[in-house]
Amino acid sequence: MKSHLIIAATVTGLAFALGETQLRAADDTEKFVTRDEFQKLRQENDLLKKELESWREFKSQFEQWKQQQAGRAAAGAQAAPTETSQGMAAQVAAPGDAKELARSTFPGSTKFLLTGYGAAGFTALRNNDAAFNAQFNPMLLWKITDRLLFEGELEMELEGTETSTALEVANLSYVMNDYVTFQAGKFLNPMNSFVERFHMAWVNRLPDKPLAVYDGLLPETYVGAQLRGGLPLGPTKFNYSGFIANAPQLITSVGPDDDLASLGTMEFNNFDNPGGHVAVGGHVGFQPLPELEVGYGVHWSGLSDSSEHALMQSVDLNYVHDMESLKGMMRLNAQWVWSDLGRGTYDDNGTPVGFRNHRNGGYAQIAYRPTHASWEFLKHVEGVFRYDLFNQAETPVGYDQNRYTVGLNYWLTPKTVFKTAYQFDHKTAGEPDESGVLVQFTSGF
Amino acid sequence: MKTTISKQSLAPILTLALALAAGILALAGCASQPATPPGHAGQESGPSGARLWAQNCSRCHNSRSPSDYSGVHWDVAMLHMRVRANLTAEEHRKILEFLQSSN
Repeated sequence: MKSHLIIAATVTGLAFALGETQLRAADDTEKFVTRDEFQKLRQENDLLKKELESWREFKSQFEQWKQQQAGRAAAGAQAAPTETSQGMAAQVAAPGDAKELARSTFPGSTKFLLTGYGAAGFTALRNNDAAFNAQFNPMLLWKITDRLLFEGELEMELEGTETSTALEVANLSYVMNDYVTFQAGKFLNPMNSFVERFHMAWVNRLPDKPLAVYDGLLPETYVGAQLRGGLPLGPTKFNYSGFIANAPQLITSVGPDDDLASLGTMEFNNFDNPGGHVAVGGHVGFQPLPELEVGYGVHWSGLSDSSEHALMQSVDLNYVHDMESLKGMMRLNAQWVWSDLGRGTYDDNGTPVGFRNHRNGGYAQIAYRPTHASWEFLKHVEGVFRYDLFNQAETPVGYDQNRYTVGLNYWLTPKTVFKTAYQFDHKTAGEPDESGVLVQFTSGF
Repeated sequence: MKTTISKQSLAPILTLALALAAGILALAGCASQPATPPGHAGQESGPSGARLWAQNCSRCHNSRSPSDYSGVHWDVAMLHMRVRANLTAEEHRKILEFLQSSN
């Protein structure tokens, strides 16, 4: 039994001794690398050293830059405040300015202004079908520099079964000095006081426009160039404009399907300007008082499709006064125009027709609004009376026309008005009259 | 009708054209003077901006409230009205300053 125990202990001891020896051998093998592994590790070490060097260089440059920036900021703070600090100071000092500053940052508010007007109307005139109508006149203003302005306006109207769109104006203005502005492009007729100042629906005091001066004897726009401005003279003031532009076209013949009444009239939208004629003219206004202006305008030109010449003249008077004695604002506007195209022979579908092509007409209008009334409602009410006439009996149209129009307006805002009017129309030579009701709701924006 | 112009009929055109050209040249001479930009006041005299605003704007239309537009928009609108209403530089500047300070 003892011998068995001794043998077992001896075998176990040998087994432990052998296992320990094998483990030590394995540990010794992991302590060494091969030559390839050594080379690989060396390359990696070299790369890491290079990367560390570049980071140290970057860190050094960054520290330098930081020091420079800190130096500049310190110098700037002592010399002058930055734009931001100025803005903050302004906000603290003047809240109104801060509001303006904020407004000026609104998208699309820089240098551009979309303005214009829209109108909806209704007419029920004798010998005509009653009808509603609408129009939209958007205008884009672009202040390019302190001296340079672009003005563009479209006119969209319903006509017959279609919607007409026209380029009303498109021009560039350059302020040359305190008293002279140069303008080129398509611009409103400066010699026609009503067209240039009062034809816009929210400015015009009645739903329709006066005979002869609008869509009658004078152009509404010119395509050309002009110089214009205002000149103070003591307590009075002059204003002026002089233009050169395309000439109108004279309608010298009509066919069987054409309107005989158009014979001898002028087509002012003569954009191609056949014959290359030019129109020259201008307007001079004088303001002896701030409330009063009198003016004279003239147009002289050759005519496309004709050897005749056109001489058109206009005189205008405008008086506006907010009178305490009348407890309100009174407006008086008047204009008279002449068109002289000489005596010519025209072609009526192959038959020569000779006539003296002189026409004239104009209007006088008075409007009163009791802006100083004690009753708030009355302050918004305005009464209007207009007398206008158109003389062309010697021409193929063959009749003269005059109208009396009375109107009552209600102003919702300074640029929004509801207009109603009744018109008494008279024509000579047995022509049917067109008396009736006119209504218009319009707003400028 | 033929579109020919006789020498006689050209005379008024040429006279007017020459007068216009002379006017342009004379005015172009004035153009060498710089235009006074808004915000650069000269010697303060004459009516105030508020009075000029009331007189000039209401000559054609109802005067709009200064609060209708921002100062930036008034800047654009007033340059347009300077051209349309033949305002002088001083009138333009005073009215614009009034509108921008009142809105």
